[in-house]
Amino acid sequence: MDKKRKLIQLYCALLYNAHVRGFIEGEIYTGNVKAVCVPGLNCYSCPGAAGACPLGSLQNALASSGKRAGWYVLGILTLMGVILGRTVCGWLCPFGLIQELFYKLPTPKVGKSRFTKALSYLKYVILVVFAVIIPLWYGLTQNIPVPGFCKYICPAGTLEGAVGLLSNARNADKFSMLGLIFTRKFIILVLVLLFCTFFYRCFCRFICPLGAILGLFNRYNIIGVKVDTERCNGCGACVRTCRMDVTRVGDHECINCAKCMGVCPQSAISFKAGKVTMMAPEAGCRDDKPDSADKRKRYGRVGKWVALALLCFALLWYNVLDPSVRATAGGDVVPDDGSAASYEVGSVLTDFSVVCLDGSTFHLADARGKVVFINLWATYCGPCVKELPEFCDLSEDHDDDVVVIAIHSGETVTDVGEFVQSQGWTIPFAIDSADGELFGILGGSSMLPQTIVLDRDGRVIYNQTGSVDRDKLERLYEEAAGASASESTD
Amino acid sequence: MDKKKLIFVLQSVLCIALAVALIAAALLVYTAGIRARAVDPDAWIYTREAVAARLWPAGILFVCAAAVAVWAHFAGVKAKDAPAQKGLVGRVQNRAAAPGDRIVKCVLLVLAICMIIAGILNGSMLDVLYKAVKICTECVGLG
Repeated sequence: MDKKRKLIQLYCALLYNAHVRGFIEGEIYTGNVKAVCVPGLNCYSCPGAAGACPLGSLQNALASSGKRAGWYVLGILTLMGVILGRTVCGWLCPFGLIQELFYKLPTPKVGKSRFTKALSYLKYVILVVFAVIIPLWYGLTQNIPVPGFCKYICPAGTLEGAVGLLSNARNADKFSMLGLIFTRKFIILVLVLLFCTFFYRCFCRFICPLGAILGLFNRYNIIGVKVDTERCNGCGACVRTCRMDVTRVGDHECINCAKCMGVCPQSAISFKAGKVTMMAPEAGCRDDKPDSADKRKRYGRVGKWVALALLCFALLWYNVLDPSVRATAGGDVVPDDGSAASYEVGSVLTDFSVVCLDGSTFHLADARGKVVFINLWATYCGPCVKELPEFCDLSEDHDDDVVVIAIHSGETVTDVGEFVQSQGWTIPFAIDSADGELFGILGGSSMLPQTIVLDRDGRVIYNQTGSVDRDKLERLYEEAAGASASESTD
Repeated sequence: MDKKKLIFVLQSVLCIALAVALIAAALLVYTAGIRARAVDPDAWIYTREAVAARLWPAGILFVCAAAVAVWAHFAGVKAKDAPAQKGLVGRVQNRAAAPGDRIVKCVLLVLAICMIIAGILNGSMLDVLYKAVKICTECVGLG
């Protein structure tokens, strides 16, 4: 039973991270299929991630609730809850698998107690504070999307996203962004993994807000562990064997792992999908027909082949067939004039023009002789929204010598013009085309924000992702102005 | 001390030491980076070289912990669950499905599907997609 569960967990980890080439190239998957939330905690910034994390999506939906109600994520979570409940945690979550592997290390284990039971309610506090209140507060009062749990706690995000991206040599420049946030999250990750060697699934039991949400649906889940109450004699063997802080089978802490199925002396526990028994104790279920066991085996075999075919298709789709993957494999975007795109530091940036939100047209060539700051941003990126006033201040302070333009990602459903107007920002704003042509010319990555600085000759002196503050912008201005001056002296 | 006890103690010590080494490495790189930034505001706090220079003790401990895990595997020593606290589990009242549960399930299912359709129509599905393909560096803990 446990072996079968481990195989399914491993299978899901592979399926959710089917974009294998992302690990090699150090880039995340950017195809349309990523709109689908996977059942489990799997960070969408992981280079292999094939879908979106439901918890991250929920926080972002709450942060944007002033603009648009996040019905989609709420619907997905409700659907996930009603169909699977915490079966997601026990069978499908990749981070659950990681925790169980750490628990397998030969160390003394800490059993459940009244203390761990009390601690299991901590995840509801974390859900309310970090996944609901913080995103709502920042989103509604300051218009800044801050997914509190992802930003301050999520060890799955640190392991799969941050460490996953940074471990690729092609992302060496991303080290420039690391600071206090990363240090704090890395320490949390290490502590969580350490505690997982002594406590069974300590993250799921005490911290995970997704588990807290799904636990609320556990009473109604269609697929999960069910008890035949006519057979059950209340001996408590199930709860004693369970490593989670359950008080009965199928309560909000039960992850439906079905470990209790094998220890029930009454054979009262089975794993069901609605009325269909998927796994039954050796003695069978009360409602079994004579050929039920054979049928289960037969369907199990068919299920294995279907799952294998699905995995093969996913690997093929996410690595070869998906249009976004093929576009990436085609290389950089080539500008209209056919010249090779050049955005590396030291090269002269390819000329481009773009129509701004105020109706004017920005020609890069017209900005020659001035220092140019190009900011790549999006309304749904918190640090982008926070740093844009700094660009406005810079533009005002060096009005005669600096040209600033902020280019919004082409992927948006928000009225960017209205958003900019509501913020009172004064610099020119433009929106990239849906196919990301400008981002391609500027070397825009799948990460935001990004700042590109050109000296007076149009040469790139800075092109990096990550936030910048006013002092940094001032230093970049001085560097760009100095670079141009030394060029002209030479 | 028998073999099982020895392995348990050794593995516990190694796991704790590995965690301490990793945390210490992160803090040392961070504090050194902050000092470097005080001198040069453009200096990176984390660099690959600094990380590599601080990570080697953790690397050694990791290899040792892995070796002990392999030893335990071949020696047939397995981690066992600790029993639940005495008196924590008594008689259990497992719950049968209430007649109203089925109605609630159906209502929730219909509600979920309606919300998903509403989400596709009001653009919140695209919000999920865009947020997932253009990631905000601070939101994923990079900084």
